[in-house]
Amino acid sequence: MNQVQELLTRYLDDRESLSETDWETLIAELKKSPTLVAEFRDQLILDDYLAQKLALDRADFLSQVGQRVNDYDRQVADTFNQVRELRSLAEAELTQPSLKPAPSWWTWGTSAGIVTAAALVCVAVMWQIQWNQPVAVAVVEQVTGEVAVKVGGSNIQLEKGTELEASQEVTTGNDGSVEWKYADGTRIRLEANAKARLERHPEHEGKRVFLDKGSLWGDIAKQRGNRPMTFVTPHAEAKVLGTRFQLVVHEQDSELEVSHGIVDFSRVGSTESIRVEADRVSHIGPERMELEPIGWPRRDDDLVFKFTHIERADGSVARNPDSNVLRETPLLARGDVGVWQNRGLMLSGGSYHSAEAGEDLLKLFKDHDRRELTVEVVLAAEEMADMPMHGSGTILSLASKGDWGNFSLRTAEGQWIAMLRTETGEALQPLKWAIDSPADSRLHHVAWTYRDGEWKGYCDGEMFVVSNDVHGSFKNWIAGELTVGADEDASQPWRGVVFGFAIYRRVLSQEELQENARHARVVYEPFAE
Amino acid sequence: MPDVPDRFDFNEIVRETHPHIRAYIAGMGVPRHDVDDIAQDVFLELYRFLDRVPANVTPKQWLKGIARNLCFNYFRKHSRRNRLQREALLQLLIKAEGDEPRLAEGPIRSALDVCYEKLPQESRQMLKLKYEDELPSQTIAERLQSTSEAIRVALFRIRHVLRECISRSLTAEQLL
Repeated sequence: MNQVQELLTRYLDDRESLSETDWETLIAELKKSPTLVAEFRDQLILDDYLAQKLALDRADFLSQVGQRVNDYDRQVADTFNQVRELRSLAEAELTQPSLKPAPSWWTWGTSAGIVTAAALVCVAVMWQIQWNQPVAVAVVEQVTGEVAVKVGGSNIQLEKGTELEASQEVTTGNDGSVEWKYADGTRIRLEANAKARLERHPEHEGKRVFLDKGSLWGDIAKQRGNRPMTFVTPHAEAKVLGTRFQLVVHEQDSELEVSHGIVDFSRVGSTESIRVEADRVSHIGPERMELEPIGWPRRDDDLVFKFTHIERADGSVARNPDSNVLRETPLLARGDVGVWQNRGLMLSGGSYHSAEAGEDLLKLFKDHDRRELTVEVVLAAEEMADMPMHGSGTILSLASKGDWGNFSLRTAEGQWIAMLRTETGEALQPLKWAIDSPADSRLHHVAWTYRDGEWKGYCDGEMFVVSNDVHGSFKNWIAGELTVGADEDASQPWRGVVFGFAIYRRVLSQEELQENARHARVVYEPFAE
Repeated sequence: MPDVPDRFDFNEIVRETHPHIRAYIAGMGVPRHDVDDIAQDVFLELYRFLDRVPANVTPKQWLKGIARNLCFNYFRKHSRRNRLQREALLQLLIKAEGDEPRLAEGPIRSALDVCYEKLPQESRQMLKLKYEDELPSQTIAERLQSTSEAIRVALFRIRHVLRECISRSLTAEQLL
């Protein structure tokens, strides 16, 4: 590559990368060759077409133009109304009937002066009133459970459609969550047990959110370069120009997980910052400032099988019972199945299965006499509103042929259902737990854990049910396949996408499951849409 | 909105022209992250002055004229460093526009979609990292165990291949 091409590629990569000398060389060379200029221009144009095609923050251009036009119309209407009101005021003053003799020219002049002064005062007062009026900065789009906004010292339950104003504080209860939307399409979802305050940045008027506790999800539309949206926690500040991320306030630090775009994450009161890119997580606290890749699941210890990616050799692994090392164990397609977004298992009546994984799991649990088990699945059900039993079927099973199997996770009648075979036999009741709807087509992280006398069901990191009626080890497990999307005999098909699942030979704590649920959303939610 | 001749439908003009106008602005050297801000200003100007678009000029031609002016303003306001060189580059790029319509005309987006699918998996992966994940070349290089220079050159070549493919596709369409 010659020097001018090297300069062109550098400029295309970063418009600020050229030195004074580089610029002079580049301009001189381009002046000599119109063909080179034309090719360079094509590169710039294609660079933008590719960004229009692929970059998320470029996809919403039409609605951004619509918003600009609406803002313009509103501004014109406001100005018109203010002028009209002032004119009416002045006209009313001038046409007021008077009992006094006809005024002299001096009196007219004085009156006109007074009216003008009054009009100016009115303008000032109106300006002041408008300035002091609370400004609606966002509109509530969704509310679940207990969510309150503080108004004049009172907490008022938020409802869909409520306009949130600057300086208002929003709190969510144990089961609460709220999503609000800004005019530019930016969405924020505040999760349970959280407290946040909406503000405008005092310097550049950009959007700002103070997150005092809990966690929030942000899907930020492209912000103007000089007006980033900022998120402030007790430990750190995140500056965002357009991205998707989750921000969590812990006791000792704040955690930022970015699923798309780039966020500048800095320690409060310090100039130290970390540039957090997609698929990275950063922790910032007084004693900590870290950056690492996001993986799902977070930890591999005591993991016996995991599926995370259909197109990667290491995306489907089982623990070798003899060597205790994880090894590639592919899932094989059976019937009507496909691949979703080059990543997940798309199940449309068929299933994926592995006899090898079934053998390994049998040895690991039955022969090695393990007595603890955790199963977690990241999934999105296919939406089939016209079918009465939509969303029902077997999501994951081991050695199930339309019966209990060794274990299974199913959905039916709007509930998650776990089944488990233990020494106490099959006479036990399955574990059932419900959320709004397991078939709502949203991404869910579903899990259950078992140890003698303690069987718990979770959804999206929250525990929904616990049973103390089930006891014993897995000594009576039978041979069979690990199957995703149906039972081993192809009965009970489930329709939807399984993005990942993991099986462990220990009980994961609620904190671990919450972390895995959060990370699953960061890793898989972009693919679920 | 001002009274405008029936021949103009603002929303339709925006829908039909926005990919070209945005790429046109990028073709004048405006950084990618500022292209849409300028493009929004361009369309807002159209909204305000739709009734002033001369009868013998198409809305797209008019939009390009506005875009050129706003790009000059942009470089005057934003280029603290090398302003004169950037303006010189802008002049060269505008001059190049007059030579041949090339990539700012025709159904480029649909042609790009087709040509993109024809690229090898590795090329698409690199474009995804660059444009979808918006990673800098240095990070892409680390992920792909390469150098940032090699990544820049590879991206340049991929765009060149796409350009050739799009040109062939548009020529074939014109011949039909």
